[in-house]
Parts: sequence; structure tokens; C-alpha cells
Amino acid sequence: MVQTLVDNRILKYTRNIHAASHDLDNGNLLARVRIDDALVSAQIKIEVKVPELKIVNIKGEINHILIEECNSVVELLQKTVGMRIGSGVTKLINGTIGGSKGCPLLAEMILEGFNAIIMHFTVDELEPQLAAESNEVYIQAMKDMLEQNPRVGSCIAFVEGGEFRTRMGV
Amino acid sequence: MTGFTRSKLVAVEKRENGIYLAHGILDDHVYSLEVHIEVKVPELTIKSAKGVMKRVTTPDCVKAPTILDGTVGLNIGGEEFNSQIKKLVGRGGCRHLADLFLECCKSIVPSVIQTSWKEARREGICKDDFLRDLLQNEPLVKDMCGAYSKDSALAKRLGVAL
Repeated sequence: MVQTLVDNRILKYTRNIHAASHDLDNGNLLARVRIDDALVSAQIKIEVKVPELKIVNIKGEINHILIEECNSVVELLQKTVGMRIGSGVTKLINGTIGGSKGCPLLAEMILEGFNAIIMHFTVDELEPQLAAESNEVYIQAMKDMLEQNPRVGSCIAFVEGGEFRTRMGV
Repeated sequence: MTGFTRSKLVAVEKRENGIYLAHGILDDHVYSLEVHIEVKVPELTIKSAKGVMKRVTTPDCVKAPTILDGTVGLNIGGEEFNSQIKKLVGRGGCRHLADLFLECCKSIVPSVIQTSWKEARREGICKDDFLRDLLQNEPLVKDMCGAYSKDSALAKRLGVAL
């Protein structure tokens, strides 16, 4: 039997992940990713050349980890220098850094950094829609975005022939 | 100048009858969403999955969490699980929801390890003895990564033959 007066059990585990992207003075972008959980605390920094989105510099640090042998995995980061953030990069990172012989957590952190770089550009693209002063302006901005990005169709809202596209007349 | 930030938090409770309950929150410059899943351990099957889209970019984004019903019964340890979720929840619903959903799923096995480690420490078991037992007797960690694989530096140091 367990108590039923309060629907609460003490947390067994928490994981915090923070990713950010910044403009650098040299025109490149810097992605920072930090993970903190009960078993590991680590951070990486990835510098990406713009517009090629090529990794020019990467550094990592493990602050604490359950298995001391894992401290050396940061050396794997150098394998990503020269890679481009683009089609096929997820498979490439999982193949070279992650997997059952590598460190899937480090691979996830790198991919989180890549996502921050991509979203860095997406925020600017979304600004005209989300800051629209009327529905008409929002719809026009959305139409413009869809015309410029014909491949957008990869979610419930943008699926080809979907309700949202139909309502907007796209 | 910072152009984008994303924060994800996953918290896991151990409930009764082998159920682990994970709550996930994602907040970034564009989106804000939540996921709640229940996973049965050691089977690693999803018992329930719910989500809420709180800050979105289109009026239809809020419908995405209905897709999560289709994940009930899936095994989070399956080889194709990640690609299955990216297709089912990502393309069928929202890729940011799929991202947070996978983050919740990936937190289950570490929470089992953390729970066992805490109990072992309470019993006065040292870290190497705990890790040796984990490598030899916990099927959930087998081949999870290089550290838990055959011929790893850890297995060699601890004298464990996998």
C-alpha cells in the first residue's frame, strides 16, 4: 500500500539542457550546449562559419560524470571539424560520435547545437508572421514563407493538402 | 548577440508497479510545450503519453499532441524507436514535440540507473562495485553506449567479461 493523500513522489532524476546561439564579431555563429543531470554535467561550444555552416572550431568539457573513463569522450569532438550542418549530418554525427561504441549523449549535444544554429535563422524568418498586426498580414507573411520554402510540409500544420494550407488558400 | 535559446527540462518520478513518470518542458524563442509520459520498467513500454502546445506558430500546431496517442504500447528501447518517433510524432505532428518526447524517453534508463545508484550508496556499496553489478546484471544498459559495451575501458578496469 502507498499513501494516496498527496499525489507526489520525490523526483528520482532531472535533466536540464540549455542550447543557445550567438553572432560572433567575425561573422561566424557560436552554439553553446550544456547538459546537467544526476549522472553527468557537460558543455560544448561549436563555432560555425556562415554561410557555409561549416564547423571551424569545437570544444567540450565534462564537469562531472558517473563513469570516469567517459571523461575522454570530448576528444571525439574534433572529428566534427569540417562537417557542414545540412542534409545527412544527423546520420553522420550519430555514426561518428554516437552509437553503441561511442557516446550517444555527446552526439545529442552536438545535434542540439546544430538545431540552435538552424533555429537562429528561423527566428528571423518567423518574425514578420508572429509580429503581424492583423490576421491578413499574418496570412500574407505565411503565404510568402511557404512560397519561398516549398519543401515545408513536414508537420501537422504544413502537410500538403492539409486544413491550414487550405484555409489560407495555399 | 544571442539569436536563439532553447531550454529543456525533464523530471522523472518513480511511481508504483514499475511505472516511471517523466514530465518534460521545452521553452525557446519560438515554442513552448510540455510532454508527460508513463513508461513501464523493465519492459520499457509506453503506458501513456500526453502533450500541450503552449506557444506556437500556426493555429494548427495545438493539434499535434493528439498524435501521441499512437505511441502508447511502443518500446522505447527498440532499435528503430527514434526514427519511428521522428516520423510518427515529428512529421505527423510537430518536430519540436517529437524532440521533447524523445528527451523524456531518453531520461527513463538514466533515471533507473540513478535510482539504483542512490539505493546502492545508501547501502554503503562503492561506485566500482555498483558499476560492476550494473554491467553484469542490468540488461537495460547493455550496449547503451561505448562505456557499457563489450571491451570498454570500464569493463576492462573492473574485470567484467560481457
